[in-house]
Amino acid sequence: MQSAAQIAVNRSILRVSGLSKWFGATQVLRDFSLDVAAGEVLAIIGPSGSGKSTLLRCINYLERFESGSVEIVGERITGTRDRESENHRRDRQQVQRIRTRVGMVFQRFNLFPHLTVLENLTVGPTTVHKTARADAERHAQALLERVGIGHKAHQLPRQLSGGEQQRTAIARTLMMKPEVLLLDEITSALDPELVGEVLRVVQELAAEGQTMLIVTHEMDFARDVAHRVIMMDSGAMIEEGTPSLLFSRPTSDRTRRFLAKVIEKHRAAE
Amino acid sequence: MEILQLFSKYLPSFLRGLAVTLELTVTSTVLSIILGLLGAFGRLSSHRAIRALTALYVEIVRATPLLLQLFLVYFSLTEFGVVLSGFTAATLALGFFAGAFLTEIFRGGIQAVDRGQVEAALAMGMSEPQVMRKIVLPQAVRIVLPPLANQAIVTLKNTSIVVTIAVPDLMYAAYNAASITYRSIEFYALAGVIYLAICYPLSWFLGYFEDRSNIHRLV
Repeated sequence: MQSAAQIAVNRSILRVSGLSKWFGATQVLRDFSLDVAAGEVLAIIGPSGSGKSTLLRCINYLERFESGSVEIVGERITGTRDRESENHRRDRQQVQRIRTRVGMVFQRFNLFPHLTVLENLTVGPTTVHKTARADAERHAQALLERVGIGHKAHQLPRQLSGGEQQRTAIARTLMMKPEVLLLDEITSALDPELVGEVLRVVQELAAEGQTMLIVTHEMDFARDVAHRVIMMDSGAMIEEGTPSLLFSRPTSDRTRRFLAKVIEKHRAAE
Repeated sequence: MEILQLFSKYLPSFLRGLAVTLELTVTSTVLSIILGLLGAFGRLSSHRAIRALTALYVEIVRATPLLLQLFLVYFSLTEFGVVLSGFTAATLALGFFAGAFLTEIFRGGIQAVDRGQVEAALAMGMSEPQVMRKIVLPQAVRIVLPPLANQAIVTLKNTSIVVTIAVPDLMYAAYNAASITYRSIEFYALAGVIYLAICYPLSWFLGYFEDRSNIHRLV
């Protein structure tokens, strides 16, 4: 993993400026701004409903937003209130361009159940980049080995455990060689004993300098893997800092209360 | 044993009628699948006008009798100078009729595919048509195959209404033989047995694959 000092001088790869988003009458992101440097691992924590997942989904435009802008991998998308605007339609190609360079892993894996594990990995590059099947398969097999499920390549997703499914989903995303990786509560749907195997994969990626935004409820993991942690509540950033600072000496009351609650829940679970 | 002689006398016309029934089933089912696909994409379109138009098609067809639709196509279009053969008119009417039901069946099949998968595919940079082709449709086909086959059986039976516009199908052969010989019980029973002999194995076959499709074996 790169040191924090190194990261600080790296170029910015993601800049969110003044982003606001509503779901109907409810504002879920409030004038949100964020900068992420290439190679940085950012953990995003906060109570459910605080807008963490929505923020990630705005970054690759799975959610449209009303105002503000997202600049990522050199592309810029601005929000609009006009759902059917010409602007919206024109952006479609740009959105696709961004998505080929920004990967996302979901809480519920979202594997394709009609395809084998190997095909889940190859379908992206063969469809989007028109990569030759043989090349894609070689790359896929190598990635599956790396996440420890090379021997399951020809099984269907439903034959795998939750942890294996999530590792497949991570490998599927890595097939596209993403410059930024968005991880949306990727261990929340897993049995506790399967969490570790997935987090280990993420730790390895961090060590290789993969830029990542990680929405997580695993505080120990956030502390270990992140260069920086931000705490969100009600669609806004409450606090940010290095993991050691934010977890040991949070400045805001809300962060303190949130951390206390998480620790309590953690203890109760044990 | 006189009836057996009558049966053998009318057997050729029954067989010709059966051929017409099957042909009509195939042509109108093919048309209905095309219309059903177009309709389903229309119903799911992002353009409001297209959505409204396909909804209108579905509602009108579902809320009016098939026989009325057939007469409209066969008799009423002639007033606009469109003169269709009975077979063509029947294909259009039966195709449009089943197409409305298939629109809803196909739409349901497409929507039954988990939204999360669609998002995962979009998040990799696939275009919406690519997501449809690679992820949604292969799964939707499995979902819609049983109701599609069911609709084909319904269409096969519905072809019998063409007797009203004198298309020489199986029903017409039975009607004709019954009228001439006054043996209506025997000839309609014979036609019924033939319809049953075709439809029953089809629905049995269907039931078998309904189990299979649940475990993702089919296709």
